[in-house]
Amino acid sequence: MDFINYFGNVFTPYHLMLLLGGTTAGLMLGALPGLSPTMAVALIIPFTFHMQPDSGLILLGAMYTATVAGGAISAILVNVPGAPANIATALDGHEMARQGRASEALHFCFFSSFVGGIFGILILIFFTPPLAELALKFGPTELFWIAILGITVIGTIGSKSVLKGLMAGLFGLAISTIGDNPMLGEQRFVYSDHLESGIHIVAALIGLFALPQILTLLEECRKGNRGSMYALSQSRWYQSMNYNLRRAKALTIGSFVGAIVGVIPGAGGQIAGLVAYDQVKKTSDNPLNFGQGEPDGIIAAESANNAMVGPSLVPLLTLSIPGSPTAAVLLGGLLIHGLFPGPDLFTMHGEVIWTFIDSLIVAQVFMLVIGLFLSRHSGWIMKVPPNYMAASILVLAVFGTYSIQSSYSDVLIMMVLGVIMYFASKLGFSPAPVVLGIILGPIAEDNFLQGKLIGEAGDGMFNYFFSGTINLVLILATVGSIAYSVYAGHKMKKRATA
Amino acid sequence: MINLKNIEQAAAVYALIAASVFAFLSFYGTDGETYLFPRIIAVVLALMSVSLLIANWSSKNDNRSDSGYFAEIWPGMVVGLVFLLVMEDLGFYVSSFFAFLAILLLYGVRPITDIKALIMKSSAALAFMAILYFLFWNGLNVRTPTGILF
Repeated sequence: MDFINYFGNVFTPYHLMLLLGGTTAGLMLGALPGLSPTMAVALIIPFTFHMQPDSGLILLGAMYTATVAGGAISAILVNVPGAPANIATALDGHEMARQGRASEALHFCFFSSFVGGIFGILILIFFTPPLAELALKFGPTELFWIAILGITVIGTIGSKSVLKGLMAGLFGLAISTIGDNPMLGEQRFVYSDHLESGIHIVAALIGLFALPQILTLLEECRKGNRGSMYALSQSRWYQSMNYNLRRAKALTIGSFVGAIVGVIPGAGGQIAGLVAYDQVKKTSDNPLNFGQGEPDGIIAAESANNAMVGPSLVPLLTLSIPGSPTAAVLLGGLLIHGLFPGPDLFTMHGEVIWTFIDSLIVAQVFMLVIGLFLSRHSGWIMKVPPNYMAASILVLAVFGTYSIQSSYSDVLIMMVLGVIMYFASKLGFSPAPVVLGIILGPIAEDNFLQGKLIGEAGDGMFNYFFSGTINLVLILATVGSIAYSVYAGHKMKKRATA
Repeated sequence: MINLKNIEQAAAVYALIAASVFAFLSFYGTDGETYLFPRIIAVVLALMSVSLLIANWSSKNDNRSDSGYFAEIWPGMVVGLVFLLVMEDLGFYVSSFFAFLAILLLYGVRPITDIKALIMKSSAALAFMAILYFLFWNGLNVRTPTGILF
């Protein structure tokens, strides 16, 4: 019970101040489109140079957890996810905001984030050794099948038609192949200097979500819908909490999916949120309500992306393998302070590491309290006239995209993708599957090519890809997911026509 | 006969065109090893587009929304394009100020010639840029294009 011994270290005035500052800044930065958790943590690393290792890690940990939750604020209020992890939150969160239930949606978001976050940290504390062993068993074929499973999940997310959803996901995969071949290093589809570095995921995310939103707002202006965009009613936080806690199924699925995805190296919160959303929708009695402002959609997505935070540190702290892109940046933060992850970390630097893990629990409490306060006072965003909102989103989108890697090309790509997505959305295509395709593309291709090479050098490709317990379980889950998506699609059509 | 005023058929046709272009670029004059994964995607995408077209072949409703929305958004698209073109020369904060103001004026309730509204909107744009500048440029050291001004 080492984690209890070091709990007192968190409650020094200096550490509490760092937690308060890190959580507040994280929530605000997370709400800005483009300033992803990864970038927020990267931005704050220089501030930790002169701190003691435990203090620096406390600040970084607080930023990490708060930015993941903060991204939901803009997802709900303006339909632009602050980070890829919040894509699934926007699907129902913004619909609730349109119905005048923004404050309720934000309450669900912060309560679910809190529950998922605490669950994830408990997993980190108690299951680090067995989970590290599981993560070690994931080779190229397992990661390839994980990506394929994710792609099949695309079909039912955010699209009314399974076929259109899958096609949008494939377009995302196609976009992800622009740039270098991951194995051979040769360039593909690079017809302009702007495409040399490929398509950056955050630039694509901002373009695909923010630009259509800006153009839709401009449409609203011309149609004469001005002043307050949507009605806004305040809801009481304890009523939302009661409702939230009664949605045990969505919370449980979200938290478990988040923890499992978190421990898989490289998967990240975006996949956790979308997979949890999909599973809750598939097992719901009212799947037709999803996408129309169903609280379970927010609860599943937010509990999953926060439950991912703790487990994503398991492979990082034990094997030096980051479980998410942000965990990769955190690895840099650890190394700066002379902490080298590995089996010895907990014995040689136990005090620092356990203080850091304990601080994550306190950061969740801060995130909940500050988040609820912000949700009470963020309603003014809903009253901003659409032309002001469109102008602000445009500037923030360009700013956020440029600041990823100081690249003008990213801004250009963001704008082009956004305009294409706006016209595609008029044909019934949704941006969420495209983004998931772009995220999963490199994982799928890299591991497919690696698996192909290993397979050809051994018993053959087929044997390599279709053997092993984890592979078979993943293949069965993929087939089951496709079959269920088709079945659910038919069922929903029947219900809609009835 | 294909009806482009039907949303499903239009989606299938445009998707098929995009998939065909992608397939052409993947297969024509490219190396099989380097383009293996894009080729697989292109084939699956083309098959799905054809499936969507076949599945909606009998649907003939003119359910596609009027394309008149382009008339409403083109001024905003022009602002975005000019913003992109001048951003590196004028600097992010200056060009953002003008883009912000242009959208407020073009899509505002009051006419562009209304001086009072112009002052109010200019102040709003200036305040927004000042917050961004002090928070990110000064506070967090995030660098944006500087251009001829700052």
